[in-house]
Amino acid sequence: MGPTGMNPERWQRIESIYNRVLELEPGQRAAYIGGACAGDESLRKEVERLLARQSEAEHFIESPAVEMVAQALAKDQLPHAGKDPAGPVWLQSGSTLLHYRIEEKIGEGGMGEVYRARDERLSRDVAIKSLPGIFAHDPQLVARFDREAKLLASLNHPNIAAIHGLEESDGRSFIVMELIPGQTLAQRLLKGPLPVSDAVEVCRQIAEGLEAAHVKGVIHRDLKPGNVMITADDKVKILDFGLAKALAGDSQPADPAHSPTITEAKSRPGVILGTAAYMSPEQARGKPVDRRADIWAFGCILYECLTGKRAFPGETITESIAKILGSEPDWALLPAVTPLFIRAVLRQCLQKDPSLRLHDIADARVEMREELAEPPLVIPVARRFPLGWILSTGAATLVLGLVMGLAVMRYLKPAASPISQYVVRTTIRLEPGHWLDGVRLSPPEGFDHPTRTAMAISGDGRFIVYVAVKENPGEQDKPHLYLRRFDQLDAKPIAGTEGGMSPFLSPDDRWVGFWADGKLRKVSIDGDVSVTLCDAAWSLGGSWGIDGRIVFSAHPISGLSSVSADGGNPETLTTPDKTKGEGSHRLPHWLPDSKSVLFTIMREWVDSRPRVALLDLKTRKWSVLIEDAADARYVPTGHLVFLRQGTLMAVPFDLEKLQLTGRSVPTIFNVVQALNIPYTLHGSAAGQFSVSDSGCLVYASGGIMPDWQNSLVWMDQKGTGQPVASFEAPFYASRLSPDGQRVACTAMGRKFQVRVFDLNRGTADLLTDEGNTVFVTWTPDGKRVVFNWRSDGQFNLYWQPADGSQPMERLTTSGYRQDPGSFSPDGATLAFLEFRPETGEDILLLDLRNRRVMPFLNSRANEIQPEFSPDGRGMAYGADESGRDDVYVRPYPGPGGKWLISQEGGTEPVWARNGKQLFYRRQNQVWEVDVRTDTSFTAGKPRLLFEALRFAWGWPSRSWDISPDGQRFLMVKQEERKPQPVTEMILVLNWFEELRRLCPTGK
Amino acid sequence: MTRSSPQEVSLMLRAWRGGDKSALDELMPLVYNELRRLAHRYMTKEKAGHTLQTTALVNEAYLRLVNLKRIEWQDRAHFFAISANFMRRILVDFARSRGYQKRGRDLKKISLDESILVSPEPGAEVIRIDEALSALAEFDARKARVVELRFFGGMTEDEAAEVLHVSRETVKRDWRLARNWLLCELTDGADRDEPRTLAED
Repeated sequence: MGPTGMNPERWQRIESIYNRVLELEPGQRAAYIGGACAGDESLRKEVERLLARQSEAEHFIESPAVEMVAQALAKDQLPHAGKDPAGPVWLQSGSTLLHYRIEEKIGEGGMGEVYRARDERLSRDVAIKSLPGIFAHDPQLVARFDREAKLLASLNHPNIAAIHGLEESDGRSFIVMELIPGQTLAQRLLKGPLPVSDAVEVCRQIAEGLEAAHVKGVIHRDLKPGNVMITADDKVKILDFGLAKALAGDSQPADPAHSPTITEAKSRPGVILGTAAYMSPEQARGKPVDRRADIWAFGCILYECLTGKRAFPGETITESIAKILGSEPDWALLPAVTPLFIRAVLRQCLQKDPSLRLHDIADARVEMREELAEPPLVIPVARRFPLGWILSTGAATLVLGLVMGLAVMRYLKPAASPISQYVVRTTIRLEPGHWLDGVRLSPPEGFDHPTRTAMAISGDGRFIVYVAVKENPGEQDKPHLYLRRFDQLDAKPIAGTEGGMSPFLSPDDRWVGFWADGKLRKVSIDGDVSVTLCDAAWSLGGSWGIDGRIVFSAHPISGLSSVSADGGNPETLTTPDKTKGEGSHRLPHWLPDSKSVLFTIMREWVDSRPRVALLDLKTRKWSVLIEDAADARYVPTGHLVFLRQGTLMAVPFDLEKLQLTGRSVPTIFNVVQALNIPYTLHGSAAGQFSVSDSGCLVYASGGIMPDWQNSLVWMDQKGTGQPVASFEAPFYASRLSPDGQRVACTAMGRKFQVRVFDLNRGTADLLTDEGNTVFVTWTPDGKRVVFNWRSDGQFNLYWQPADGSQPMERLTTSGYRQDPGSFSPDGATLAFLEFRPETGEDILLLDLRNRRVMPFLNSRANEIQPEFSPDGRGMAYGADESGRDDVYVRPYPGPGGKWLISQEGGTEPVWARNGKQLFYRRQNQVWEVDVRTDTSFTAGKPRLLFEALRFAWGWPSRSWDISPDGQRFLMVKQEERKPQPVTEMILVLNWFEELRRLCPTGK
Repeated sequence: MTRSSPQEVSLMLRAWRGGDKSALDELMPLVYNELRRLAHRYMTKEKAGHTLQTTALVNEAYLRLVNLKRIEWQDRAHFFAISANFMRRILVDFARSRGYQKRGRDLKKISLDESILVSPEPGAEVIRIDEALSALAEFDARKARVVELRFFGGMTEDEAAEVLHVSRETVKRDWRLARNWLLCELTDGADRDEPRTLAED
């Protein structure tokens, strides 16, 4: 652009008139302009031209440039914008052969009768369960059930009764299952409670089975003692896994009376309708169910094993449900010798609010295993207390000004202790329409959990300061600090804290330190005085010491700094030691004497397994105290409390020797923690909890960021899908082996992995388990897989035998990112991608015989997704030289022209094995093109095959594949996350009582 | 208003560009990936997310740069300034490389109906804003910087004020006039080959 000719002085006149006019009432403007521009008609015109569009300009470039460019990119790829493709329909019809000899009826289950039978073909005894008559008339139901049954059949675990399959004969469907001799747990419990150690062992096995199923995304939904078999040698097997869902289909039961369990009872008049007793509160309310419903049922079973009584007994459904929704189990019935860990697990499982419940059965299983492995840590219950000890909800509300129900721990400190030391749990709801805030990560990547500690409880436990923002905030909605005094009913914003976050309190509780607008600031609790202390770009934790020094971390690559609480120049305390693999120091917390600081070390700016270290201020030296730990704080009971993968742990700590003096134990599961987030800004490792010196704990429930739960599926040419892997994982890109029998797939979650599935055997081998990897491809002989990988440096290419028999071996070395593409049919040449800033993505060729690299296509446009044709004489690839991603074919090795294959854009080409079709994707669509390569290359008109939403797309390599017969496509379906903002905190009064019991210090 | 700050920044930028281009090179794929991620969201009609994501992107980009170059900027303002300029260059280069410019010239008028939040040719618009911004910088450098920080850097008014060492009110006023002028430039100039300037009237 040439010079504008605009004169700065003239522009200044325009500006001053313009600004003045906009301060005036509309009626006065014309007169003012006339006067100000007197004699200068062109000046007047210019001002008026601007003003004419002033209100319009308020909406101009509202969204940032990056979003506009992304929109442009999106428009390129969306020729049929606005079209709303239907979601996939899951249909798979079953096939049958009758070769079972029915022997005898052995029982009646939830859905029908059960027989012992002989599988004549496989010569084995099986159990056969008939399905309700409705299956005879509804082929769709059968098909859906068949699909589910196949998934269930993949649950291969010693604590789960295997499902062999679904069969059909004369229009009647039945399930073939593993035959398990023994009795059900329900039958066993008729004789009374189990000894505590037996109860723990039985439930540990149940937990193992549940875990294996949950890992694969299967929920039982109808777990109860009648569905648990105990064999003669005390092996536990869970029956009927997932059948409840298979029968109910994808729809959730809106009415609890429609659950299979209760249907059974209804069909048999006179039977006590007690089986609703294991139903979770959310099931009872007809709400959607996830694995936490199983965890609830598990808690019920554990309780029943220990006490011999149901946790929520009732003569009728109504009575049971009322108890489930409104009452606590009678904790007094637990045997006095019940280990404290087990009590804690039980309490976590039977939380009525699923968000507060144990999220992962693995946590219970670990506890139980430890419990069995080690001598029980039992502190006898000193006294039993009369019922009057349980505070009513109303009383709690009156006394505490708090909102919700509570549970009461009945066991007290063994030594004489004041009678008021009971533990009380209650929730603190944020003001209506508020979210807990601090650099939230929004869907679809996150749940809108804050990633900075958003709460600080006062030392005396009488108030809390927290950060909240209006729900669904826009850019203009800033968070504020709020003060909630526990003797008041509502929270009040603290003046002068707009944009504030990451609060921490002064030792005298009169000031709050916090971050706002890139500064570290402090404000008096009443909001009267607000002071800027120093610059601090990022909020990565602050702590206020008794000597008036604040230690903080303000940058994800720096160490700790300190600044006077009166403000001034910060002083650097630590610098991460790169030779020890330290990338960042953050989340500092003083020890009480203000001579040492606990802090968290991250290996890089993000780290899924941070460490807790202790800094000696005098020597400026630090050492690691606890592995796989973050955000540690000292509490006056003589413990350090810290977070490990979202579990609040406690470990005894000697304040004089500065040493750990015991083993660490879990105390609270599922505390919100910013872990497993791959973004520097968000993956802070900070936890949502705060502990008062007086013994109260406040925290938010929700855990760490879970891995994506994507599924690997076969899509047929009509867009109907069927799962390939029986479990979900953060799958990303998949490739079928040349023989079509194995699938290599990458996963990107807490761990980046390459897995190889054997489709025949149903096994999944893990090749890499560390570092990062994104794309994978096979050698034509099917012996190796090639993938890009890095630990610290750049993504380069590696290969490894597909059976994992040898470690990976490096193929290329480059300072630029590389991704694998495809092999020539003779296996001698690998086409791959390299990103160079001047030329974008380029296609390069690696000669495997001499490991030499040659360029193939390296124009300024991006050339991506190289695919050798099956005869090796052509290469399909994607390129954006037209300004849009399109698919082309070129002769290989050349020279020659290129053919445009796609119409209106396309990416990720893949050849049919016979070389007669090319398939490609255009966003949610899959297209097919007939091609001929025998004489000269010709391509037909593309045909749309199907559309499918939320499938992974690969750039710059291919994320999907095609079956050898060309009939099915291997694709990854992505999980969608919904916002789960934090709107309440949990307050535990006298938490130290519980802490001392769970983790005795020996004092 | 201190004029020295942007100059310092441009000095630093020059040193950075001249000293080692590979740092910038390393960053471009990162931004491109983010663009594709955002684009994918638009395509699948998901909520586009708010500015935080953009800011996060800039921060990520910056941090990787710092790590690569082992430079420790002490001044957050410099960080923002450099990030915004960096984003501007990458985004405009990207838009140009996709051929948006050419298609943009065919536009008769850019629709700015309030109900249409998505520009019909957003790629071309970004290039034209960049060009108009260079013209604006010739007679009002500060306003051009405000637009660069806000529009390309995704920064808030407060952040821009901090970078430029001026009050928030000044940024507000600069932003108001600058985007008004840009809008006039882009729409009135769209009928011709070159953007029209005020002085031609």
